[in-house]
Amino acid sequence: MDKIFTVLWLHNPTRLSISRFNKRQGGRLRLHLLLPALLLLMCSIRAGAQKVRGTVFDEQSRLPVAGANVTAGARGVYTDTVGRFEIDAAAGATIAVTHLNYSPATYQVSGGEANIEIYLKLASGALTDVVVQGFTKKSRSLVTGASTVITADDIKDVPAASVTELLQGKVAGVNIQNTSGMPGARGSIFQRGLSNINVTGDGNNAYLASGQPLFIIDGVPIDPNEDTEYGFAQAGGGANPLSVIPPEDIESVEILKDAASTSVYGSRGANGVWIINTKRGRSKVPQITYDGKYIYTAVPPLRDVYGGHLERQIKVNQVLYNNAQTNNAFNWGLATVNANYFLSDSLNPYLNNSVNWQSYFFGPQLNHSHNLRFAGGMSQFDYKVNLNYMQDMGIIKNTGYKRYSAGINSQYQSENKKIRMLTSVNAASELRQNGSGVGLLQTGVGTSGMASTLLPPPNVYTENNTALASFILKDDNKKNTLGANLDLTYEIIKDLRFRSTGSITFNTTSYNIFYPGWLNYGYTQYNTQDRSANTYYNLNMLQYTRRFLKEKHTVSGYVFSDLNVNKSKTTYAQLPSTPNNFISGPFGYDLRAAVYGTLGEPVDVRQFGYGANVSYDYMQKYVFNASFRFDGTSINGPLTGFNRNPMISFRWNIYKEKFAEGWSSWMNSSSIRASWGQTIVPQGNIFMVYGQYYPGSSYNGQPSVLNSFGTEPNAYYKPITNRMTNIGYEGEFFNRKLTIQYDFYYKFVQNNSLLIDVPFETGYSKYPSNDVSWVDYGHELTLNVRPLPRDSKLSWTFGLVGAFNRNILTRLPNDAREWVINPGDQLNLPLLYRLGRSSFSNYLFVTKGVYARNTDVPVDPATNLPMRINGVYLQAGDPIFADLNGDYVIDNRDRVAVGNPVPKLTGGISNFLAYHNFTFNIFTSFTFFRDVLNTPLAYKFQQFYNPLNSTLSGVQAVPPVEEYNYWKAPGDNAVYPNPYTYDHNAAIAAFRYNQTLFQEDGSYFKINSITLGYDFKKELLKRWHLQILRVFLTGSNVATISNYSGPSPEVITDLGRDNPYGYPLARRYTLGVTVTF
Amino acid sequence: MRYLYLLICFGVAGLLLLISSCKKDFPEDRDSIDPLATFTRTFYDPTLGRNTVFSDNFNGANSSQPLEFTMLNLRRYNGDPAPELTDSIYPIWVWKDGGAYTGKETSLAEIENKRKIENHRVFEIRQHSGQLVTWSGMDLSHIRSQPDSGYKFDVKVSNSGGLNYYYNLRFMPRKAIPYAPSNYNPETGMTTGPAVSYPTNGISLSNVQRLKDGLGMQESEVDVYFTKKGTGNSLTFKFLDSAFAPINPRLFNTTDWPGLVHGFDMKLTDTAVVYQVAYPIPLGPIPTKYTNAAATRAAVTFSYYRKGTAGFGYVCALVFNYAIYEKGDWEIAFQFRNSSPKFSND
Repeated sequence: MDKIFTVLWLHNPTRLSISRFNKRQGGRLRLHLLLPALLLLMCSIRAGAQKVRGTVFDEQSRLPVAGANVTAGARGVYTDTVGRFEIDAAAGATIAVTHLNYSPATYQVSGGEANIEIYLKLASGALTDVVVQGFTKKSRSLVTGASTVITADDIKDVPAASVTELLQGKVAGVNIQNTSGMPGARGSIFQRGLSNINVTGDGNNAYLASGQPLFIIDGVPIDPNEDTEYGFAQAGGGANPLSVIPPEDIESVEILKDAASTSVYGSRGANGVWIINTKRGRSKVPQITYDGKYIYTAVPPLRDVYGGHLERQIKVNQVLYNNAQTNNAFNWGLATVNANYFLSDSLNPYLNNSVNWQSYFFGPQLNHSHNLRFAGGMSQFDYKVNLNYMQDMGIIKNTGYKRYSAGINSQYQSENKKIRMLTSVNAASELRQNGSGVGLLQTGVGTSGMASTLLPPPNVYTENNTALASFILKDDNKKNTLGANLDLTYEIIKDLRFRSTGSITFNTTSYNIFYPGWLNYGYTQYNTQDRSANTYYNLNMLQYTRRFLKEKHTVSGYVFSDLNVNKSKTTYAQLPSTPNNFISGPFGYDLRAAVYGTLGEPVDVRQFGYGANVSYDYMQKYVFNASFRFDGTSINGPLTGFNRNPMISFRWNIYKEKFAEGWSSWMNSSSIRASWGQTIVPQGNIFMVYGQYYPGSSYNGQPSVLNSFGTEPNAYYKPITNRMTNIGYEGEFFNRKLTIQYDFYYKFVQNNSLLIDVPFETGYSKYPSNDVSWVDYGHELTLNVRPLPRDSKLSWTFGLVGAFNRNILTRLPNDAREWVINPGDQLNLPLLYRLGRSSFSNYLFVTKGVYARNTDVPVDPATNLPMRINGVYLQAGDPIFADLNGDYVIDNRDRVAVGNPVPKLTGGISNFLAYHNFTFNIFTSFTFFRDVLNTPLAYKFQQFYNPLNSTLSGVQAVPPVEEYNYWKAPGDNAVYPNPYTYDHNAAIAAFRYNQTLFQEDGSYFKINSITLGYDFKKELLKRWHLQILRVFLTGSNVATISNYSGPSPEVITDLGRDNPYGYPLARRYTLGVTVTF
Repeated sequence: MRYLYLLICFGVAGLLLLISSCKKDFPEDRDSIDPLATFTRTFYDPTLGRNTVFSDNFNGANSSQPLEFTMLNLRRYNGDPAPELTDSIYPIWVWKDGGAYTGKETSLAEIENKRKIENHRVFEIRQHSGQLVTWSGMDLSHIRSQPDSGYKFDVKVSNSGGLNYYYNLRFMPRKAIPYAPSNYNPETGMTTGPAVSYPTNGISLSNVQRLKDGLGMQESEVDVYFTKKGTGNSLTFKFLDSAFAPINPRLFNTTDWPGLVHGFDMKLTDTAVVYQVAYPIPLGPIPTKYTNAAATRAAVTFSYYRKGTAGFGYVCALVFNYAIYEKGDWEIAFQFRNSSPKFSND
């Protein structure tokens, strides 16, 4: 009977269904025979039925779904190209809608509906998604580029200031490291290896230049590397730019990885593009959703120190022992101890305490976050308002992060679908307290937290003012962000659309610190810094799509132009001697000593690009896509001109081939992708291109302008160029129980800038060259397995994400093979660029153990001089540094390139388990093959350098070193040198940072979060007039398994260095609830 | 199915080809050798007869360490071959690993135990550091020393990154001078007089009075005579009056005779004091109780106590800094030219 009714509706269905019908029917003869009977039947049925008209939409994209099968009872129709259908159904009947790519949906006909709307949810399965490629959305099966989509389900239930933390270990090829536990800090993101290898700062403050991907939040591009101008390359005074969007409001994050996806983004897409969409209104009845999280932040294990009397005893013994043993002068040692009242005056109550300084700094916190969302809408109009408050007080006192944010988006679509308008506004106000550091670093805790335990606890009269300062300082950092976007699409004629989108963002950041007089040598001081940054963005495009020749061929293309303006400026004022400890201005300060002006170099950059993109597919089997883009930036050299960035890509959907038809029992889909393309990233600033000028004194009464001879202008200054090749495979097997995505990429990065010394005769001292190149290549694998049958009560999804990345330096200026970066580093921690190795390597002394006896120290056969450092002869208990050049002197010539600070293998494993209404999720991430310098351990031993510190505020505690195998007596085969020969150790820098003794394997496996959730039953909720009620319990940052002996293998700079002043990652335990009314 | 296997094979092969072809283009992880690396010292003029090491004579600039240095074409200035440097190899005593000389050794054997015999040429370059070394303890008679123009040589510096050549470095040794302070003329290699006299005599006096008139004795009034008496291992100190008659060394009554030099088997007689010692003196540039503070020379102090005018007591001393580079039975004689010191009390 099914067949018969289908025939009756032949006047409406799509052509596709006719052909199918005819095929199946096999001939018209039977049809003719049945006709009289049909007519009879039809009359009887039509009596109770009514005509129901409706439209089927994609729930997420709001676009109509063509070719969906709509059935009511035994009748069935297919939707047309704009998603419309018309079907006869009696009141109370159920309409079922099915589509290959979507989960089935049902609709109950109540009677009297004129035009119903049915929303289909995408079925889970990699190939069914709609993803972004370039500036357009496409079905996954037509995409030639490599990308990953993360949905709200993947990131829910875990508290975080920004979504980046939550994506750790979830996207193949995106290496996210939460390098600081500071609330709201920006972690580091490396998409497909290194994007920039410039280093700013030195010592513990040396950072790799930020090369994060471009974020597009609801159509607003956000400069990810903003606020990094002043050296805080990782986590500046400002917060992570992504934290403007609360993770609760995120619907999806699409991570575009290869040239095919990103090349049209031109100058800003070279490091990858993340498209972040916030949630949208979907239900006809307005929905109110509340997400609440209550978070307990626990302090991770801290450093051990010896307290009180023990500390004094150790220091006294150290001085006595050292003088008796090495200098053979016990009495001198005794005299030294006596002369230092800090050590000898043990009865002085001021010097006879046992203070646990860290307990003053660290403490657990109770935090909470609330998110409220109103959303609703239909196909023509939808809206959403999201309000968020989040508080994350850090585990270090006086540090914290608060966010107030509001986000609105709405969409209007005209009835004939010709006009579509999408707007969004996201606003956030973020407050940060940085304590005694810039956020990433907590120098106050590093120094005061390690102060001698003998000193009295913090108060106004004590020596350790830094400690008090970090609690008391009024440190007020605000960042206000406003981003707005308008996206208009107009269908001029059939198949030809015009789209124009524009956005603006405003950022103001202020940092204010007030020092009361009693903390600041008797006079007050107020430091204030204001940064304002604006961006303007506009994209216009004309898009044409046409299917022809029996719809077997599809051609689509677009031409576009985009403009991006980026401005920022920071002003700074330092007002000393304000009226008193309570008034910080604006009047009454010491005008003469005040300082104000612009900080750093103001930024005013414009980038303009235009280009075209063409794609073609044949029966969705062979897809071809190419684009060409011209890019000009205002910080290019004028003689470089516009950059030309081509892209070409291809996809072959094997499963649509005829020969693969038989495989459908075990293979749902299988495709191969390949792409090649070029993208650029602007670098440097306008002064690299035009030089710097400054006003000089007047000459003959005329004002003069003089050239600054610091850096020679380079009129050919180029942006960084990335050329990426990508080959990928995607496949779904066994009824989508197993999905695989594999990609190989080869990224050639060139024209990275490096300031090189130029001959004195040029008049300049440095020249910005564009001669550093390297290659990143790697493999990425994403595996999803649902091992249990679909009808099983327990559902289990297992995901594995892994990326192997290799990074090789291929070119340096002046055809050099080796280049020392930061040769005069204050901690003697320069980096080495060396061809054929990872882009940067550690440059270290090789430690081969400890001299067990004096007779083990090598002697120069000609002079009888033993091995020496800084003119000091080595002895038993000293480190054996390899004397590479054999001159019996350990100096800078004995350093070698060792270690690779860039992780090679990163990824994560996730498990989703659901049983009835319970869900249980475990997310883990891993990082393997990375060399880390354990500077905290070196620092620990360095604390023994100076037991006789004469300034009380600088006296440090003594950490226990018993667990380490250090040299104690002649003949000891030790790993660590003797820490107690303090003056000798300080002279030869026995515990220098730059030695292989402190280079360790930084691999780790981390349990990011464990969540147990419970969804209340629908029946129960109906009674309470609720739609969703979910409670959950989450432990995040639960455990890290690592061989690394330092505090944490993750709180490590991108340069592979741990930091004794680092901010530890807190453990969080969250109780949360989600309610939808 | 056949298609699929074919497809997979094809794909994998293509991928491998791609990866391998990419890898071929990467630069190798080789050492760097900077074309700007250079010898900062091209002229070497050591005094023969002592171990001399020229350090910090090469600036590697951006080169990776270690480098490999090879001395090439060591030749006379006129280009003739120099077999006296290139072919003559001598067994000589060098210091060995296992503990440097510290000045605390308790026997001659213990000191000698810290040395061993190695074969060396007079002038060598150290393999990895580029330091240039002249060795002692060899027959130096054929070596062309200043004022001759000496020798020229080239150096090849290499590592896995490549190699650099450096041409026409100069080696112009000075004539051996067996002891210091000395009365030798470095140009001729001959003594200029029988004794080492003021102002180069290396002597400082304190509170020493002349026996003749009780006036303070000046350093210029003492001459030092170095005499090599044999090829043994001894060191003798003698004091002579103005008529070259020996003064009894015991008169220097507060002298620390056993700790005077790092010598053993001391024989203190009425005319001299003799020690069995290890040469050279000092043994190494390491400060010990037998050397001056900078450890450049050995230091001896001969002192005595006497009561002077008005019953004041004085510690009077003769301090002498010296070095002897050649092994032998050396005698050092101090001659008080004008008058002997006054040892008796006033």
